[in-house]
Amino acid sequence: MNPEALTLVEAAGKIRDGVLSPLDYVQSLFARVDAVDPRVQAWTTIDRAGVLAEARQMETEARKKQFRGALHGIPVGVKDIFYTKDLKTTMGSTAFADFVPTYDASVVKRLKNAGAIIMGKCVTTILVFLDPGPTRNPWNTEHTPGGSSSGSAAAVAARTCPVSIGSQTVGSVGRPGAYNGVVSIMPTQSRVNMAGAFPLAWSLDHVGIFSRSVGDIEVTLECLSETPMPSHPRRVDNHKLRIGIVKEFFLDKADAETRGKIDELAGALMNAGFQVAPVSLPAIFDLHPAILRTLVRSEAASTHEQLILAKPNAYGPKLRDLVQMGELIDASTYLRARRIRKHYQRDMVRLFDHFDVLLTPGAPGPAPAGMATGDPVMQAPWTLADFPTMTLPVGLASNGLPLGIQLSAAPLHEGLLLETARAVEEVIGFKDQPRL
Amino acid sequence: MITPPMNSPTVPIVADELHRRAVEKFGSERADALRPDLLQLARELEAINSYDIGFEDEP
Repeated sequence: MNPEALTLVEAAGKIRDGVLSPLDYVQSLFARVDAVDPRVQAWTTIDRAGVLAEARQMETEARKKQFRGALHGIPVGVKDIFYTKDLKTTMGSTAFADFVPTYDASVVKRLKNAGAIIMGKCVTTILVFLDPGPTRNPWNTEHTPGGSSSGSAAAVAARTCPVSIGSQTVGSVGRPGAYNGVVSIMPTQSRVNMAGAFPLAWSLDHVGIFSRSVGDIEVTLECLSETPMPSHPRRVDNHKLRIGIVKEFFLDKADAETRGKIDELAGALMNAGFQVAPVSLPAIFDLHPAILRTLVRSEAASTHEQLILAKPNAYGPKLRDLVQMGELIDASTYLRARRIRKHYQRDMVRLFDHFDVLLTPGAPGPAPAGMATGDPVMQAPWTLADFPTMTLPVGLASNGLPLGIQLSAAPLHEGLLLETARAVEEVIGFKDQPRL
Repeated sequence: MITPPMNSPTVPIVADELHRRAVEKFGSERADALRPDLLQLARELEAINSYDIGFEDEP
């Protein structure tokens, strides 16, 4: 058995069956970190002694058939913006280089309650914005992993953990998900509590999850969800699922290979019995960049106005620009943007009168060369709408890097989204992995 | 169809006002460096402020 190759569901099953020891599991993942992380640099803090002690305790309990929850003995990576009690949390910035929280973020508490072992902290971009951290793309270390959840996505892709936690304000889960060839979800904002996480723009900040299968995402989301997931059939009938392909805007922004993959997938989905048809966007869609950027700039300025004065050298140039632009926006314009967002959400949700799930590319193309974190254009409209959104790998580009697709559902319809994603995952049958 | 007034004649006026505020807050050197971003910000603020929102949708 090669533990680092196991999905979360496989590993959890083996732990319950007594076939996999939580201690052996984390030691195997540590060996994998030692082998690949000097090149990928997905991890910023790992308390090995603490993790081993926790794994021993999990093993003792497992031997007695005592399981804390669905994640018993599963090591999880956590983006370095979520507070972890007694474990350094740097936000990717020198301003917090020695910050050790005295309490756990809400998601960390929920993970621990479900039996997860917090394996360590994953690299974030500087203060959760576009200025990159050191993480490289495991598929080709000359390319970006995307951001801001750079380390969380790369750690899962590199097989150094089966699941990780990230966050998205604009495109910080879906974009790295697509660039790293992993499965990701950004649930509806109210589904998972962001308390105890460093904010960028609180009205848009969402928790996210990365893993290597839809099933893994589902198990993890059920542990993190603030409310029970709505009941849904365990096996959807493909013929009843209506998938809308959003061509305007999204395919215009995608490269030829990505457009080709979307067309190919649409054909495969129709052959598999899905109802697939093009979608027309409402007129207000054109306003989404202005609404989104007004909110992000204003809220980031409010978050950072004191810290940037106290520690200007801790800021990257992109975040400094964002904060300063936000300081120039007046309150009435910010509030007007919030009100227009409600109109946007109202008009966008009507798309689901005709479709269950919407399909778009996960990114304009494969991860670009260099360290700039790429374009969040495919995620921004859905984050603003607060539609739960997943990315799945769909194949490899001619340069060997992964291409991703994205599925979105109506707010709080994660159950339907996950079931559709599971069926789409089977149609795609993606099996490739990075050669590190 | 909503057409944001990205090229509205008022955009340069808004951009100049933003530049004036930027000089006050960050100094003229920094404000000048931000000029291209201020023009884009002005376009987006004009798009927001020209949308007819009404009063019936107060949050």
